[in-house]
Amino acid sequence: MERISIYARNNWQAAVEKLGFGFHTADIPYWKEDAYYEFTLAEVTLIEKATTELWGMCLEAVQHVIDHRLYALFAIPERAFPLIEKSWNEDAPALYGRFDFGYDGTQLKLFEFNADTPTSLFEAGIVQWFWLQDFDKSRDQFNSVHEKLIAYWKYLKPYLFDGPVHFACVKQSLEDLTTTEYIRDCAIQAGLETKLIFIDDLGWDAARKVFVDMEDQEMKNVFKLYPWEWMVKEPFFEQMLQQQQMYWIEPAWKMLLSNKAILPILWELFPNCPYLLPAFTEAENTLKSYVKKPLLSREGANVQIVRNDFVTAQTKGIYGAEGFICQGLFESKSFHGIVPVIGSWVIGQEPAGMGIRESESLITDNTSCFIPHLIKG
Amino acid sequence: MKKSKIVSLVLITSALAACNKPKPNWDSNEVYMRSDSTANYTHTHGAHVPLFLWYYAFRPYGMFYGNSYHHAGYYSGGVSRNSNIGSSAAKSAAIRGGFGGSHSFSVSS
Repeated sequence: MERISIYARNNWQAAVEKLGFGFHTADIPYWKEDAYYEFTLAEVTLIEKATTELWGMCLEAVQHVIDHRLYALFAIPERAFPLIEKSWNEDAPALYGRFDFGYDGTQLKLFEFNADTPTSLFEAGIVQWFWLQDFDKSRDQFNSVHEKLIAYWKYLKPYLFDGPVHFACVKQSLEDLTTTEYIRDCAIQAGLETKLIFIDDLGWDAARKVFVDMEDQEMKNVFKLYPWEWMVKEPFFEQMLQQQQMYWIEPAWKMLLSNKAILPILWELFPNCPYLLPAFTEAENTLKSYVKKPLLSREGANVQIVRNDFVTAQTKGIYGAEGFICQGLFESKSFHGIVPVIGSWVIGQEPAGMGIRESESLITDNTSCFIPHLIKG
Repeated sequence: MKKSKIVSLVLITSALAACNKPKPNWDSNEVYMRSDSTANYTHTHGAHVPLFLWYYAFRPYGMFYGNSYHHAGYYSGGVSRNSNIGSSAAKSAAIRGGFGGSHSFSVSS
């Protein structure tokens, strides 16, 4: 893996906006193309292999948690247990997830799995692909996100309930709207009937005991870019338990995988896995140098880096009330102080591509930038 | 790695076009809005709805029955329940707002 500096396209803002990428710059640039990452085919193969194997391990870990009823480790409210188990036993449709890896040039290590509401899918699947077409059409990229999304929607189609698939996200975020609309775009191309609705516009028809959209049409299949850990605490969760014939995508069992408590479980079950870092609950931690992460947090908030029992870096935030886990510290390859994190996508059951985000610290937060990549040779 | 060299989008570019609607030319940022003619106006602020979402600010509201669509008016999350529903029985059949209250920013992860 190398970081290569280049000149950005003169018209890069217009070029990415033409694709529908409207959040390329906030207070600081989020999309950066004055550099790219170059991977060897062997490195890409390693990332692909790790993604496949870890996905299998994650499914085993979910079964283990359910079999041994380890929900307390995840700080999940009791009223959510039946929904998790129902969605797991029914094999409710699950579409996607993103494994975040560190790489030091030799070893690839899992930092976390964004299994419920991962974003940066549009950047990975579309924006960096069209960047490559402008930069060097003859080169390749680890990227079949778009094709696999369409193919998996086609695969899911016969398993869904009759009626449209509703796509729901929050109103206030262009990033979330773009991600949601991109996934809906792929569903449309797969031949599904779709509708967009904002999450706070969802209605509950008490007489029929069903969720309804803005046209009072019953909602039976909902893709929601909205975290389960928030949904279980909101008023409509009670209603959710009443409407049995309905799929929520991602399904409720994904709340186990999107919770950092899955990391100690994976380590306990697969201690010889080359892609895992040692991880423990805070109470059982024996590590001296580690990263302390809240069970539930977003964009690197409330993370501490501890070296030899001293906190050397930390981020602020609003998370941590549910508890923390401790994960072995791993030094990713750094390029003059810039540290990349590899986000490897799983779509359906298969690895589907990657996106690189980089930061000037070991903690990838909401100021990190998305950088395109290509395959060497 | 890329199995196909043809990548096309049918929806997303139109979504962006919607986001680029021109900024409303408010004389003041104090506005009174209602989404139903039988409802009372609500005092709100012009900047209450993010500018890129003005396209979605008032959404058609209706339902299907008898194999046809019956338009019941409009609905906006930017104004109060009183100003959305008025005396419309169709609109009051469902309760809304039971999801979405935890946080108002991106769910990005």
